[in-house]
Amino acid sequence: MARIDLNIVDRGIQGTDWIAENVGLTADHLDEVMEQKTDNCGALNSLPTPFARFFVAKEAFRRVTEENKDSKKEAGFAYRQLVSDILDVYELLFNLKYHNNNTFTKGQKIELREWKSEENLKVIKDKMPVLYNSIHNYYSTDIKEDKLYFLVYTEDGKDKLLACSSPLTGFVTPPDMDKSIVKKNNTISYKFSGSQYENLHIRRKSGGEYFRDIKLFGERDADFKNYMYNELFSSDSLDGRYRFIKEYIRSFKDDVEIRNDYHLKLADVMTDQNDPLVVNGLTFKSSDALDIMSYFNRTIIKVPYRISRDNFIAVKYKNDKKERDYDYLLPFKPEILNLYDGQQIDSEVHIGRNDITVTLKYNNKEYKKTYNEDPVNSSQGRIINLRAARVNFDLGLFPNILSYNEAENNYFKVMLVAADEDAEAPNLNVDNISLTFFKNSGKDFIPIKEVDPTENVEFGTCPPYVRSRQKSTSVDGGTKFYELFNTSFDAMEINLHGDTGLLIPVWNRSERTNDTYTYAIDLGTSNTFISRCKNGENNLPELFTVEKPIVNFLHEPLKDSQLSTNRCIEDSIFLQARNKIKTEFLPAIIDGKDYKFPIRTALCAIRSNANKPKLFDNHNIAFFYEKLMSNNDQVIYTDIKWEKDEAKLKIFVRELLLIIKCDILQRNGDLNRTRLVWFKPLSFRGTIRSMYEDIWHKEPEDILFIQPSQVDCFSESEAPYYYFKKKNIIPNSDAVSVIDIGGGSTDFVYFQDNKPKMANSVHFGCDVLWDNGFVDFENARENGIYNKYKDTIRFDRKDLEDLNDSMKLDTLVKTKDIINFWLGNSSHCDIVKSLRDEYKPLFIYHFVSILFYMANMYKDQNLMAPKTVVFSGNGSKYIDSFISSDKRILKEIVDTVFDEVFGGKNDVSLQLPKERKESTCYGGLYRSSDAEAVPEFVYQCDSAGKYVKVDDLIKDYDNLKATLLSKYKNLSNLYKKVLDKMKTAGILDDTINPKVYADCAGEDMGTPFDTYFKTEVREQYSDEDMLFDTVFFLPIINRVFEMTKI
Amino acid sequence: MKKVFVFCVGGTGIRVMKSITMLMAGGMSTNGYTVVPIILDPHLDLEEKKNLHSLLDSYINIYKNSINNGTSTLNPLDGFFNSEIKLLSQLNNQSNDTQEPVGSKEKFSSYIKTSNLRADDINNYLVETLYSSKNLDSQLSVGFKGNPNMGTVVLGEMIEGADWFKAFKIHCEKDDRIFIISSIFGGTGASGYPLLEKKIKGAENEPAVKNALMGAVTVLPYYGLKDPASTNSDIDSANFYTKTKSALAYYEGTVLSDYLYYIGEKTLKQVYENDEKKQDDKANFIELVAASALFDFLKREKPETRQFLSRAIEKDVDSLDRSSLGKGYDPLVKSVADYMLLSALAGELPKEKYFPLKKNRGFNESFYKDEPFKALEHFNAIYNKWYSELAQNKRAFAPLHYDDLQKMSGWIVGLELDAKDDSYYLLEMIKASNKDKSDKHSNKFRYFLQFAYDAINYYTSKINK
Repeated sequence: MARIDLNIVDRGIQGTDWIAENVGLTADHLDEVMEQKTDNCGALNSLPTPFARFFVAKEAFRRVTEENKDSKKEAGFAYRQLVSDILDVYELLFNLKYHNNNTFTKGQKIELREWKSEENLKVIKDKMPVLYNSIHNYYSTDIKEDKLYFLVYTEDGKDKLLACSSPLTGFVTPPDMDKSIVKKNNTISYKFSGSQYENLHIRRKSGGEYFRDIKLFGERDADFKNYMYNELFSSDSLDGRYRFIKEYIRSFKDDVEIRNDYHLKLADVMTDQNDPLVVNGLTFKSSDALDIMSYFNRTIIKVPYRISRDNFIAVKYKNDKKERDYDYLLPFKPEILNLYDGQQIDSEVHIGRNDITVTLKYNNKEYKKTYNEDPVNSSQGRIINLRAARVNFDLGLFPNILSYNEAENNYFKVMLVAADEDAEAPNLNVDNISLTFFKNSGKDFIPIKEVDPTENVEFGTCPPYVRSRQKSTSVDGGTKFYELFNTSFDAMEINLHGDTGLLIPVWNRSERTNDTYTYAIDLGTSNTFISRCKNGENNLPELFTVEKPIVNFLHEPLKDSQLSTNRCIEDSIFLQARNKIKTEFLPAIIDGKDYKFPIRTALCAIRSNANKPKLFDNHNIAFFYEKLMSNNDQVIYTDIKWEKDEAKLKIFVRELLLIIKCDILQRNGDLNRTRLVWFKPLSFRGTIRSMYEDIWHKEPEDILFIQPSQVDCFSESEAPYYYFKKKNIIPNSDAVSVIDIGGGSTDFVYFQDNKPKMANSVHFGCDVLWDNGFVDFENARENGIYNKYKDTIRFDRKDLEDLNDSMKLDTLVKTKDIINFWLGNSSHCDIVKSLRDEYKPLFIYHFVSILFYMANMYKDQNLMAPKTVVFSGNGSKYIDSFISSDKRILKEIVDTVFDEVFGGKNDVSLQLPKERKESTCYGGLYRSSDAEAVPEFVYQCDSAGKYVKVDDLIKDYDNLKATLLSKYKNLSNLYKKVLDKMKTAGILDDTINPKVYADCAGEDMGTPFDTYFKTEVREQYSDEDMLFDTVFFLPIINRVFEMTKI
Repeated sequence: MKKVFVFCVGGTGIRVMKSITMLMAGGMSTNGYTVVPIILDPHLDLEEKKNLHSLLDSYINIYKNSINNGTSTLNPLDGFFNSEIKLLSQLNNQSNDTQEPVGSKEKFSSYIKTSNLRADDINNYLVETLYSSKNLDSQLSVGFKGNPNMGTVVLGEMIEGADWFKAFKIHCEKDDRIFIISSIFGGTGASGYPLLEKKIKGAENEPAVKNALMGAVTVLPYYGLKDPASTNSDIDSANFYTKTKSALAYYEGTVLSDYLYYIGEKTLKQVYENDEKKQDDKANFIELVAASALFDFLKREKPETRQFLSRAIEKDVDSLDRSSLGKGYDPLVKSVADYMLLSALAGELPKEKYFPLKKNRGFNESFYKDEPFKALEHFNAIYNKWYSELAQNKRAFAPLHYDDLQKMSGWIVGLELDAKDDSYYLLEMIKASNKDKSDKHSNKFRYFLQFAYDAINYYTSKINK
């Protein structure tokens, strides 16, 4: 054994005494010291200076440099992780622009906060004198910098220190960021020393997470390596204190990715004082280059259905399969749209055995990213397979057409429906799925921010509205609505639990022409109808239908020529979304088949209607009404025409107008030259009339950009006359009465020599047949017809059977709605036959009452008996449906009534045209807006017309009542006479006893008149109010109700 | 009397001081300097520190017993306990409690008053950069756990303005010397050494302090610790060398001592339990060599230029004897051999029935029961344990065969002594007694030590030849 120095290095000491030399141990002597690797970060502090951390970092670079040169000289985890963290700081700053633009979400930011030694050492002296006593000397020897910079990451309002600038290594991370190795269940993970970093997750651009994964220089991406090697640490004049980090970086001279000719576009990194970041002469830079790969998402969303290429731009497959029953959302960040300047993104997907590869072509170069459901390395993206996760979503965009005039693209609604197959413990609900919209501003694509439209903003996205959430007991998913106002959009980014995909709608676009259209909208109590005609053409008016779908759904419709377009679209919606889309949105197409006008005048709303009504967010037209049962969350409003709730009516009109807008644009019509006609019942007066006028002025202006002058309003009752006259079905126009029977009211208009002489409206429509008289309970179900058939009626379709059961169970559904449902689906049940067979006398009573009232009114107005009587309105269909389809029989009834009232022998021409409901709209289209307005008249069965105000009736109540009782007696007798004639004519068979009905009609009318005059007139109106309705029908309504129970 | 103020910083400083004391007991000379040990370690309850205090008290007691002449004092003896150790408190008649300023369980964060900063004060980031949460949360009473960046703050305060440091400056007189013992790879020592140097050389108002000849021994890594994962310790001996390299590089050009002694090993020879609170590490050869630096320093004059000293051993073996140590270590071997012989004789003599000095010099039963001899026995016991540790540690300092008093010629490995058993030494003690006819004092204990040393030296002096 040779002599050995008792030292960490052998200096060749002679002898074994203490030998003195003039030179101490220096760093150069120390190179031969064999060091061990160390994995313990807590043991790194080595120097008697408060700034030891800075020297530890320097040491760390020396150690990893040695390791890089000789792999046997392991640096150990402690130093490797420190170097990795410091390199992360460099890389984070290098990619700062990328992160700011691409990965940092709202509330996330990086900031370099300046610390001036002069002023802050004073603060430390004042606040922490003990620390100051130690550091002030060392600062001047160890650090020497006038300024330090703290790299601070802010997230959710909380700051986290990531690093402090260092004149030795550029930056140094805080010791709390050091990590320890945790071995558990045969896996290795890292744990931060300080708990404040537990939730630190900043994704590296090149994969993985900053400060979490250990990544030494050689493993980093080429741009960064070239920046460090060729830009930052290439200078010979770099301060000597950077020696070790420089040696480390320069030790990668043989790295194949580092090239002298590597070109980088760089920009200064700025501090919070807006100064370039310079640390001990080292000027930090950030990449300013276009990074195509950064536009790829780290995940790609795989949906369990095919995406409609007609409606959305979707991925193109290099090797598509016919049986493919899934699709991928575009896995790109929205900023990619800027690269393609609004043109289609040039990308393709190759489906591999276990993965897919997305190829993006830009500037004649191809960029590829592979996605795998279980990525094998950090460069691979992850496939988010919704089918495997048993979750799904769909969305619908309405309208799906853009006007050539950008200003007219002022309203778009997107319905999002999301569902989890495991409703009891859902992973996905509508709350964690969201949309962001983007538009091409001309220069670039900008996000359309969510703003409150009332806050004086030009355009934006309204804050989304969650209309329903999936219940644990229901398969139906939750729904959310987005609305864009005063703007169109070009793309959407969907965010699904943090994973995103790009959706680019394929818009239909209108073209500029000179074509203009007029639309007539008859908003009836029960049904609503729209008709259309092209201006300048003398053609027959058209039933409103749209040529193409007006909603773009994400999913691809079925391709089945046997099914209607609508069925193809609706049947391909995934099960949990189907009912939601049908009930909360609007039909994809109103083709005149599955969905057609007239529709029921009904609104679907969320049951807990605490919020302000808004189209689709909480209310929509119930196109599904009588086809599909609403669910427990929903309520159907069927009385909106007569309710004084302006908001509901407005929503109904708004949706109709939006649909009309789609139609105009599909037909390339000139939107702002459109004309509209709407109809008011004669009984519209006062507040409700001005409410309607206001809505019909404002909404068309807002949606169709037309002025009030382009909107006409005609009387519902007179309109049909012009249509029938145009169609030449009025043979004699000397004296014509048009009787428009609707659900709520019946209108009479008397024309003489083609001019309207008088009009009258009564609140006595056909709904009184299905209603409960004046029973003052909303949920009353005492109507005899309802009770007679409710348990026995059967449908030949299961869905209708179920719907019927549901309606019966829902106490808010009225008897008239249920019976209208029966009648609306009469081809699937035997309600028509039953009513015709068993309630004919009831319908005759209703019919005779109307005729009797009208005849008396005309007579008292000294008008001759009408030569022609024309019926319009859907309500009038009961006449030929349930009394007789034989016009001669019906004419006999009319003649009998006229003979009785006018005297003599009448020979009326009775017209029951096929287009009963449509006639109003059609007539509206043909009525000249210059035509003479019809004088309206209120008839209380007196010839003098002396009853104007309620008080007039009260004061003369006895005389009024006496007159009416006389009329009722005449009516009763007349009814008996008609019944007898019907019996004779064989219209009433032996199963019906007319006497029972006649007796009912003949019962005391005085008492019910007293009762209902009190409840329906005196209690509803003040004495000074004008009474626009007749009191004649008050006891008759009650009599009809009683007759239903016979 | 010239003094040498020996600053013993941290655990290594304590253990080296223990070796210094043992070598002084064995007859190593301080060249006329009174050793004033100043122990600098914030550990409140460290057993090793208490033991050193106790050992020093024992030494001082024995030394006093050896020079006691009733109302006067005698010159120090040649041989055993020939040099004086004096505590700072004895110089100052005040407390020398150097741990008082940090003698609490206060947390470091509280000590530096981080709570005085507002939550949004940017200086919080500086504190976060300098210290980990664990640093800030650690109690000062358990040392700095290998964190000299904390130690430098606390020790700086501990020195600055402390009564004992003032006392040191007062009592440090012209021609007094200063010696600092510390390790470079730990927490307390690594931070204490440069701090002390700065404080001493910065004592502008005390020229005797500022200009005092100053030496220091920097103990480089020589022992290892068990895997820190097993005790959750923050000390990992795996990076002792890296820390040392880093520290030496940091010190480069900043050393202020006139003589800087380096001592360490190229590989960590022994592995101890990794428990900072206990630090009951066995005595180690490197500490013994570090202790020898003080004696070397006290023999040297002020150099013209700063001197860096290091030392070798003749053979790189795990168990060292006189041969493998090399000639330079002979005085050290002799000191240990002599004292171990003294200890052996002190163990045998009370049992010796026919020893003439029993009667002539009063080394009788009463003498052996008297306090001075009991104090020596107590010291001997500590010494024996210390040597036993040295002889069994790695590397082992084992130049003696001391377990068979009938075969004492082999007492020193590789060197045959003429004394074949203990009777040779007893005889030489009688001869020494007979030679000394002066009867200048009546201190039996002093005679005992003197005759024993003369007898032992008679046979062991050949070690130095």
